[in-house]
Amino acid sequence: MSASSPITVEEFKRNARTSPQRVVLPEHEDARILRAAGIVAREGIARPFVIGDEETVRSNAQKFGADLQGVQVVDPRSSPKFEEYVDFYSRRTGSSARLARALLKKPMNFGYLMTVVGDADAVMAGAFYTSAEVIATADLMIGLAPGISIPSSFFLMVTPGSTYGENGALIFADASVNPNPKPECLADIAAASAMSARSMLGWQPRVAMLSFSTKGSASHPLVEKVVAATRIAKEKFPDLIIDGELQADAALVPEVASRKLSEPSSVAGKANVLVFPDLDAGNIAYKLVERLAGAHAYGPILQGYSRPISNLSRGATVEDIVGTIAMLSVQAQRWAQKISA
Amino acid sequence: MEVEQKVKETVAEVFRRSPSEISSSTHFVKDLHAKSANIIELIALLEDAFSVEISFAEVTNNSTVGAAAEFIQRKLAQKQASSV
Repeated sequence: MSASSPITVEEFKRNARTSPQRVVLPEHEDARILRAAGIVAREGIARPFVIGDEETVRSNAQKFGADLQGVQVVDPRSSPKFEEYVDFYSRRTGSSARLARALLKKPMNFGYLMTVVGDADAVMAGAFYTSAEVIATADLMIGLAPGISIPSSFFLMVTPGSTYGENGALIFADASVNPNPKPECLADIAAASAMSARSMLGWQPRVAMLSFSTKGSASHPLVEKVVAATRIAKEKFPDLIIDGELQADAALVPEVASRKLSEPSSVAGKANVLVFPDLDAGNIAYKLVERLAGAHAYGPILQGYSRPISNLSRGATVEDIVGTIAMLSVQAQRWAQKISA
Repeated sequence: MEVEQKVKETVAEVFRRSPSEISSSTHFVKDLHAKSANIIELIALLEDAFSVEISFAEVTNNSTVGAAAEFIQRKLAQKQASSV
């Protein structure tokens, strides 16, 4: 793992400060968001844009004791860009200007579109609005990345003292969004997870499609699902370094991989991205690793969209939000490099 | 009836259908194949049309156009009651 690949919040903050990105925060109703906005502006972690009626935002900031120095407040209704956005949305979707105006008056919708038109680099929500609304708005305003059919999420798991993955850091996906993805969707989750590993962490992704079987050691429809997903992923994303189906020990431990696999694998024994077959497995796994192995679980972080976006946990603290903004900012840095390359 | 008619026209616009195709019994998911992204558009237009605030959860509780119209009528009644 390179020195520039962050895995702690402090490392993410350090990396974010090298090129602070424009992060949209459309939930001015939430005290934590306003406080976090002030902190990231002051500490140079990001350039926050809070979306909402300016008077209301400033009043909320005063009420919540949030210092908004360095924070830009954008009011959709009075923004000089409003009609440009209306025109952009109408042309993109074929909808009426009336519908576009009704949509874009609302801070969430306007804020999300800012990332699409290029006036912002990333967006974060979920402190005030539900995950369902965050994802629905992302589906409508941002859209999925090319080749990806379904949004998903990942956790960055950092286990002290571990050497698995990238010096103890691993991506676990999908541990919070899709209960039981079909093979085609699981393949897309794998590709999105690889993109996340690359864009947020600077890793060369090695994706393991997990199962209770390794290369045919068990036979069951649940195994067939992962086998099919692996095959689809390899065909659809030929540049992806991916293998499956693999049990978790075969994915992570070189000695187990060499014992269980009869053919060489560029993933087995050295995976850094673990794709779980369903939400049961993924969610249970990350919680067990967190509690039993003392791992830090950063996330869940949304993925699969065409712009960097994060969905906060409703229970996030100000510190969590600042950390998430730092991670999002780092992801947006690499996103910008990729687009300009 | 005016509320229901306006709701039907709004639904027709969001789902790109003719208003004549929309009735009170039209089911958002079964008939219109509504996705969550459609709900975001629907909320924006309904809020604009009726000057009420609607949450995502409130809308998703109404499975038919008729139920949505009744929901809007209740919202309007609440708004009127709170302004007295």
